[in-house]
Amino acid sequence: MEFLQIEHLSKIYGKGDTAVHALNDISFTVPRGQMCAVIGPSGSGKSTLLHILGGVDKPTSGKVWLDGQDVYAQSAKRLAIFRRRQVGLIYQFYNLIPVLNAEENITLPLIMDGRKPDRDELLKMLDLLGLIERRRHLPSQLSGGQQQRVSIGRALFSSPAVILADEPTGNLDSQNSAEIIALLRKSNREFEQTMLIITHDENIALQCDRILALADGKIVSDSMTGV
Amino acid sequence: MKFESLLARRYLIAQRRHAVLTVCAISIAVAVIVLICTCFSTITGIIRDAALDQQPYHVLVYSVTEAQGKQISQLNHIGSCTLTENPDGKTYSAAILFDSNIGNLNEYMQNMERAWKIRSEYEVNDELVMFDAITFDGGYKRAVMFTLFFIFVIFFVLALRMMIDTAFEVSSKERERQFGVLQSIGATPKQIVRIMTHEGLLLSAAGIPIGTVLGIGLSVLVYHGVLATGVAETFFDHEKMQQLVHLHVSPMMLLAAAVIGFFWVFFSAYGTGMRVIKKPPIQVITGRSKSVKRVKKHSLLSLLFGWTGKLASRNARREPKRFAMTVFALTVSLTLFASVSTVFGSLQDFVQVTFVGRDSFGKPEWDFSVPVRMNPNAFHSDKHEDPLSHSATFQRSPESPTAYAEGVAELEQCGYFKDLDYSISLMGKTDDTNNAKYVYIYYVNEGSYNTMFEGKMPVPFGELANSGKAVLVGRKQPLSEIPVESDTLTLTVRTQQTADLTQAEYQALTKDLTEQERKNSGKYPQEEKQYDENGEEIAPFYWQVGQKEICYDIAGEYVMPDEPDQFGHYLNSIYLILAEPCYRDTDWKQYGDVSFGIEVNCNLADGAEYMKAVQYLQTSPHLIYDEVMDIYRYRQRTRTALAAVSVGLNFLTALIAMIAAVNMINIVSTGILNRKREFAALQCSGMTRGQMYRLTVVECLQFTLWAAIAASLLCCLLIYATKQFMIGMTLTGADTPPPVAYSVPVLKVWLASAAAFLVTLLASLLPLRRMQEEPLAEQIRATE
Repeated sequence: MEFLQIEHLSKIYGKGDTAVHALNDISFTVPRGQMCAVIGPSGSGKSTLLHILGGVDKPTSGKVWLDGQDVYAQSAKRLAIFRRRQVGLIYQFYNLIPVLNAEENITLPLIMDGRKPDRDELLKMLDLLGLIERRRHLPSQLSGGQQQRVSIGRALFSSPAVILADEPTGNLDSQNSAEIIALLRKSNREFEQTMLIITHDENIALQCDRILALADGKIVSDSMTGV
Repeated sequence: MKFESLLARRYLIAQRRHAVLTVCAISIAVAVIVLICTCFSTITGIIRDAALDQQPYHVLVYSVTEAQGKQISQLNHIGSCTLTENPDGKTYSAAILFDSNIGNLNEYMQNMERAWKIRSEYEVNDELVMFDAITFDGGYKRAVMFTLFFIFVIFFVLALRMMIDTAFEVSSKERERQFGVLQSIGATPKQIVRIMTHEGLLLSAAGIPIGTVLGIGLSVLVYHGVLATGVAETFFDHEKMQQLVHLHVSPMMLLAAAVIGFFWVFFSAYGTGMRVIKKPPIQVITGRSKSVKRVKKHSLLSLLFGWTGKLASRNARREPKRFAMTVFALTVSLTLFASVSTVFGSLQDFVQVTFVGRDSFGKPEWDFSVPVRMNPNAFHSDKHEDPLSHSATFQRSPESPTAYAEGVAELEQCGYFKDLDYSISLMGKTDDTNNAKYVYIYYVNEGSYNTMFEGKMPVPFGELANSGKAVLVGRKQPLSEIPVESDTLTLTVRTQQTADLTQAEYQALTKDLTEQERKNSGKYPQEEKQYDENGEEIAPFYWQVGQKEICYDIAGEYVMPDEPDQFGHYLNSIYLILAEPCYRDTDWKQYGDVSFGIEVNCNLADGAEYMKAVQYLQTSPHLIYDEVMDIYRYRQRTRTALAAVSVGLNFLTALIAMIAAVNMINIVSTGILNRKREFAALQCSGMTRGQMYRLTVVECLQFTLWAAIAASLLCCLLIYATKQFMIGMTLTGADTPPPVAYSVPVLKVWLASAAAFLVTLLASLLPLRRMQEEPLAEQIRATE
């Protein structure tokens, strides 16, 4: 069994003639350590797919297996722990906790898990993210790029097996975008993390190992980039 | 717990305004419960103390020896045993106060009798036994009383809980997305709930003590406010008031209020947390609904208000549960407000009419009713018991029984009184059979005559006085049953005549009569001599009672309006009205020479001289033969009591309105906050602020309109049910309040709805205005 395996996944919003098929019976696998770009027009089901893989939305039908474990066969509590330990989610609009500073936001999944963050690791991460000087700042005191770096730091810090990024550079300028993608690539290489990145940016997609194209809730193309 | 408490603290600091508002909501809710509990413990405390003051014992054993008394005081459960010597000088009454529950009183007393050989009757102070829960029975009664009180409190508890609930809802609504993010990065549902409950604990740690202090302060304020109205003086004299009337702040009640407050906050926080975790995290983060709803194409609102109406209507249908909940909450509040204020208003009117009073002709009562002596030489004494069970004995008038005119003249001349109305009243019947119709015969003075007919006199008073004729007054049906022939009416009238008889002559006259017949036929002073107030012996006289047929000339009839009272009852009384000068000049001779006096009704010439008027009456025993009815004082006291009750009831009504308003504000403002992004999107699409406000107005109108219709129907249903209940229970007499007209609460509902509309509008516009301060891009992203 592959590290990430998706079987006949469907997601339908609404009922009867008002039903909307966000995902329509899709199946694919992703090996460990692969960096995969998910592309497609708006409404093609990219975000829905990512959210289902991350355990934050439920599929209407189908299964998601991660490292041999059926994600949606777990209880609510186990699912939360799964998200905490196995998944790092990065959103386009960062979704940081506004009352916590950069450092606290990054260490939050560990704290929630009852673990004490390693101080050296944290400083290393902050250094990698370029946030050493800003680590005590609240999200509202940071720029968009810095907020996204905090968000990436939060996703990476607990060393999850999968990183799911929903247009992580969609809200950033080109310089910041390049830095963020470089950061993700580095993490992918160093820690052999599996990554799925939703993007509209062709350059970013081409930096990934594989490109999955979605349209109307179906996979319309699946190709390796040869990076 | 560290992470939850860290976030809870940070959220409270970050949302200071919400935190303060929530603490305020908790404080107000706890304060109201403390106030209600303190009112209850004060009222029950005063009643308990008054019961103890009147009968300072739980059980009074009538007859014990001194030794037995000492033995009793050493028994279990005895707090104190006070012995008071009985008039026989040998035995004592033992006033026992228990210090704890004795279970079954009868068993306890039987055991006491057996153990100490006490053979005595005893008396139980049931009220005190109940308040102190001394017996099983008393404890049960007290439990029933407390249960009833807590049922009353539950209503407030639920309403106030809603207030705290919605305060939490508002504060959590703004963070719902963050909770979604927390869940998406691994926070378990339990942890999210713990953040909320932790916040609740921190808020209640501030809110409950503040609320308790506020509640005590409010209780002191209400207590002094009620005392200032003088309501306590209607129950106690000054000395007793000082001794018995004081605020009872029960620590147990305070504890109960604090515990209620704590559980409120906990359950509100817990409930809010549970609601937050119900939705999938991504739904909370994106604010996307999990289902697609079909919407109605046409609605009344879209017809009335165009596209804004259509949007408002669709918004309501989009979240039917929320819409129904808001309308339901408003409906309940409106119904409660209208029904409670209507019932209270109706009760007040009823009490006003019943206790402030009107005379039998429906005219307002007078300030004083002064019993003026028949003549100044008659005397009143309560030293001797009257054989005919009168409260006093009377001297036979040496003159005619018409000397009251002097007293009336004196009252008139003293200057304290005005509008003196008086009448000599007698009773007649049409025949001597069982089917006889009774007729009240009134000899009235001119003032009384004018008041009675309110200017629509069938015969002028002067003509009536000169002719000696009478006016027959009554409603159409009973009047038609009175046998008036050739303008005359013959009635059998009771007569009372005195005669100078010796003891021997009296005994000879009554020797063939039984004791009862002798009493019925008249009276003779007892063998023991009687003395007047100057110590002089009263000459014995015989007072003969009889009846006589008297023919009255009828000068005219006055048919009273044939209107049934509110229960459909008709007054069937018949009155024969004659001029008082006729009685004074000639007619008194027909009825005999016995009369105690006449009641002179009068008003105070100047309210400021009330005390002087009372002093005048108190120092004029030559004028007055019995107790003066001081209706002025009674009325003032009743009004004061009513004012106090009114203050209390208005406070309660205001409380209901306030709770309803706060709940509405919270519900509506949460609804607006929920749609923050949507409003921003609408504005991005070109909606002006004016159009947005218009949309909000239509939405508020929608809430209040539906609620007003539902509340009106509910109120009508309640009145109908009450009417049916009253008819079913035959509670339709003059001593029960009349049923309320359907229009009364309905009007109140619509007035309150108009106020609610303004409140909801305010609750919508304020958060909307605040949202405008943020850039549209921020709003649409809903980031913070």
